[in-house]
Amino acid sequence: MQIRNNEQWLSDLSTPGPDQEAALQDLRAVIAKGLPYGVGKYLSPDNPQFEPLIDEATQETLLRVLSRLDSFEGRSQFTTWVHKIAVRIALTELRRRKWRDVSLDNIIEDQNISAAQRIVADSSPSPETSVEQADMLTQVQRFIMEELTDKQRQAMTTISIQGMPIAEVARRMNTNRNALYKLLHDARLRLKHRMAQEGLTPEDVLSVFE
Amino acid sequence: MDWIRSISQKIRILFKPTTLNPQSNKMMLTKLMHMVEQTQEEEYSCDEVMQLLDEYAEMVSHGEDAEKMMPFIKHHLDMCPDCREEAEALLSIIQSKQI
Repeated sequence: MQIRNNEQWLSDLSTPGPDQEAALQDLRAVIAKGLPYGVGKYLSPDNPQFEPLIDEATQETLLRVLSRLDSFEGRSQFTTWVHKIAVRIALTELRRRKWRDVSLDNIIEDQNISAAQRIVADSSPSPETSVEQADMLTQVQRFIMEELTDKQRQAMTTISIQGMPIAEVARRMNTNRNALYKLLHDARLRLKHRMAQEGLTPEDVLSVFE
Repeated sequence: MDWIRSISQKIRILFKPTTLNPQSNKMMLTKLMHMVEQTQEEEYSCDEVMQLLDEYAEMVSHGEDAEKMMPFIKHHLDMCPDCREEAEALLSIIQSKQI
């Protein structure tokens, strides 16, 4: 494999011809060698899906790199930039596979079941504490209902509380990850401002439950 | 859009005070309060982090104080599990010296 600096990678990849073909071949090898180190934590190399995933992500990465060469700003090694793209492609696909059989409806149902189970499992608090906690919870719930939109409540429940990947929820809500993160940020900020207006800090709220 | 209405109804039920038990929802409330506590007025979006993630990961791998030099990236990674996973994966690749 030819050793290239950033400028050489860009130069070789930017014009169709033998240099581009050689650079693509080398880049394919770089991705295929490095990407398993990034994916191994999420999918065992022994899994029969592992190699096909690396192959597919490598191919997709090469296409995306060629189409976005002009967006490389030289802030890192070119190969680090390429691996960043490869990681995004591979992990997005892994998340899609992991969550494909789970609907947003199911997640919300599960949350109800799990809450019910905890009610049974919890030891009964003293009546005084229980009332204090119930009051605080009611107050926080009122903030949530008054400050957040349905979409923000849905996003917070599935992503922030239940742990579903942002990219997966975004796909199902027909939006994108960036927009959904901004939606969540706005929701958190609204709650923070409302609590400040009401003279409440997160510590105040949690102290009632300790 | 029926499914959105259906989910919205369920979320309304979920957050209705009468359906919640303070003890059983402590975990949810704790998560929510920690998120609110860490929320900043201005936060980087996923796209902004994606743009700088390669530079950030190289700084971390070189032992530089990336958290101090790029605090908005670090904060976003704390708040966004998707970006955090990708940052960790990229770092694993860099540290494997396979690039």
